[in-house]
Amino acid sequence: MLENNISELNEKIQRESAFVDMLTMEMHRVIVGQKQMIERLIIGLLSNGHILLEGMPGLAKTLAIKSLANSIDLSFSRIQFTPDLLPADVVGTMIYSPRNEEFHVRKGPVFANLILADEINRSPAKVQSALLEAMQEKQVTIGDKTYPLPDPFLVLATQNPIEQEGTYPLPEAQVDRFMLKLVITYPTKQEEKVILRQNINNDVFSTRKILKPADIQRAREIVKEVYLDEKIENYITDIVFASRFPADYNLKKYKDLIRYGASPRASIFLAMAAKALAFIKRRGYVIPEDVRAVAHDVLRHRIGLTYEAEAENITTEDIINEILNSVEVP
Amino acid sequence: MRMTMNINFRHIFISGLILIVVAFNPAKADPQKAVLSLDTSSIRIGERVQLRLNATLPKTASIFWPVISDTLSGKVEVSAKSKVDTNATSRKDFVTYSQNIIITSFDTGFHYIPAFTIQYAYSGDTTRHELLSESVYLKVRAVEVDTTRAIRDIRGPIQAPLTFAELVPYLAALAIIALIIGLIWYYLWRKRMNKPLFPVMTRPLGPPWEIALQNLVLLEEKKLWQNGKIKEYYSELTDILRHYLNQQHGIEAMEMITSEILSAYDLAGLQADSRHLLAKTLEKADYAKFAKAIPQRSENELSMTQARQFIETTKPLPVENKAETEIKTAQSPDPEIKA
Repeated sequence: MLENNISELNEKIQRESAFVDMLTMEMHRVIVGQKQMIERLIIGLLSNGHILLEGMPGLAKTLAIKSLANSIDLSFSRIQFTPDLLPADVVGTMIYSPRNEEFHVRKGPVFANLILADEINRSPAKVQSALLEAMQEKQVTIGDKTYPLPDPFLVLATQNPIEQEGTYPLPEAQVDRFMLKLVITYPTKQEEKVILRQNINNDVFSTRKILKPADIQRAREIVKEVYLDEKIENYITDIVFASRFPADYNLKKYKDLIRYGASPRASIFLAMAAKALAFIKRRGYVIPEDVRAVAHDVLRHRIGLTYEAEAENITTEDIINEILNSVEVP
Repeated sequence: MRMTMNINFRHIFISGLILIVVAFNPAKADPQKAVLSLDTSSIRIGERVQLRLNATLPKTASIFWPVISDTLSGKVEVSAKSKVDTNATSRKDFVTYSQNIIITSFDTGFHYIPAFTIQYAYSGDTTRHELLSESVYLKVRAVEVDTTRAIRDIRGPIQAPLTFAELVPYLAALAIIALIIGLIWYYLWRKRMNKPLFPVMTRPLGPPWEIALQNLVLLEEKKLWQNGKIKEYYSELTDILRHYLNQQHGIEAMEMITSEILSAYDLAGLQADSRHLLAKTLEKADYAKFAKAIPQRSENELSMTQARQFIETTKPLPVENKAETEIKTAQSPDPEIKA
């Protein structure tokens, strides 16, 4: 028998989370495969966390975000980051009108519910900073006036792998502001075949508007209520601390391979993402499975590796795996 | 006249012959003598030189050898002296006594070394005879100083080689320092590992399944759920099962979530019939631990029973019993038992 408030929450979640399946199905009409990416996009939407997507070109990153925006009745703008982009091109600027002899504010594309910052690492640091400040503050100052950004406000940035030429890697402090970093992989052979057929036969669908911003707002409030036990809190802090002090968690061999561990934002986002995942799974409480499921996406951009680690071909994925296999589950 | 000259010549010849024989007859010559000699008569100041005193005397005579004091004269010092030695001579009834004296002097100039008197007496005769050596001169010269050259050390200080005895104190100090560092390191290591300073020798425990069953009994005795400690009860219950899976079946369940434990259980090829017991217990525990679930009394008891059943059914069979069972099954005439 569950405690009354958890039982009620479970029932409420059963009712309110029905849209998740609808949204997923709608997305899958357009995107073949990439089930995990779609689930994580919904997690970001439900927990008000910005998402960084990384993957080779042509893996439906942009399409997925566009489809998500289309499915929800939200304003959407796409900013293609280029080397010559200026901060004013993102946030907006003051324009002088000779007719009225005064300055008018022209708001930039950042004033939308869903922002697709495409290839964010193709622009220099000052442009990246302009967007990342807006992400953090949820407001933009143009001239001497501050304008709040619409709610919900979610940035979904795509990034080409750093190894590609002509890219400006995001600084660690900026990357830390993204709740999740998703690494998009190639579709399976079967999925690739379906993609091929759809495109040859012009069976490419577009998503329908099936949700309203109010649905998302309501769902967000319920996600906040999802019960997070102290044992789970301890588990989260143990995982984060293991990334900072690996020797204390029987991971002495990683001590010299980790340059810096996950920040306190990692703990916050791990908890928020786990709650959102519990909501998606129709549960009113978080279990260790939820934390583990989102741990890679929350931590992979928050752990810095040393040169020794790079020389030994050890990736953050390896370190996160070792941490999860070493930290005792409650 | 001629006859007189012949007689005179004959006398002279005989007399001469007698004189030659007497003079050169060694048997008749008296060999008793004392000789004092220096290796060199000229030395540099402070240099040492050997003074040798030899005396040839009858073998049967009693000898009273002179006593050599620390100085021979006011300015000639005796550094060392040998014992009086004896040597045979060409004449059997005589023997040569000798003593070597090392002398030195720190005064320049000519130094007179007086003659030594050696007394002796024949056997049966109390009269003492004396034999006197010659005296000698020793020239002691100063070191010539080349005033045109700068003053310098004659020779640099010589470093004496280190002996083991000299090294012992340093080696002991090093050993003590190493011991202290080792003890500090051991203390910090034990503290870091959260272990007592001195390991406690405990009796070897039984097999993991036996320990798990004992722990279940202890958990029951704690009466946790009866006192409202539901979460603690299920945490301990699942920990017992997870430790058992780890130690008995090599499934690292302590670091696994429920779904992973069940997957690992399937992969390990353990009894499929018992899987549901594990799954039900873990899932029920997850509710209690993470969702504030308050299972009923019967559910709490059931979880304990299921945990016990799971251990009983998945514990390894005793080797002897297993073999006996196989033999009995093979020998049984009853086809049902064989099946």
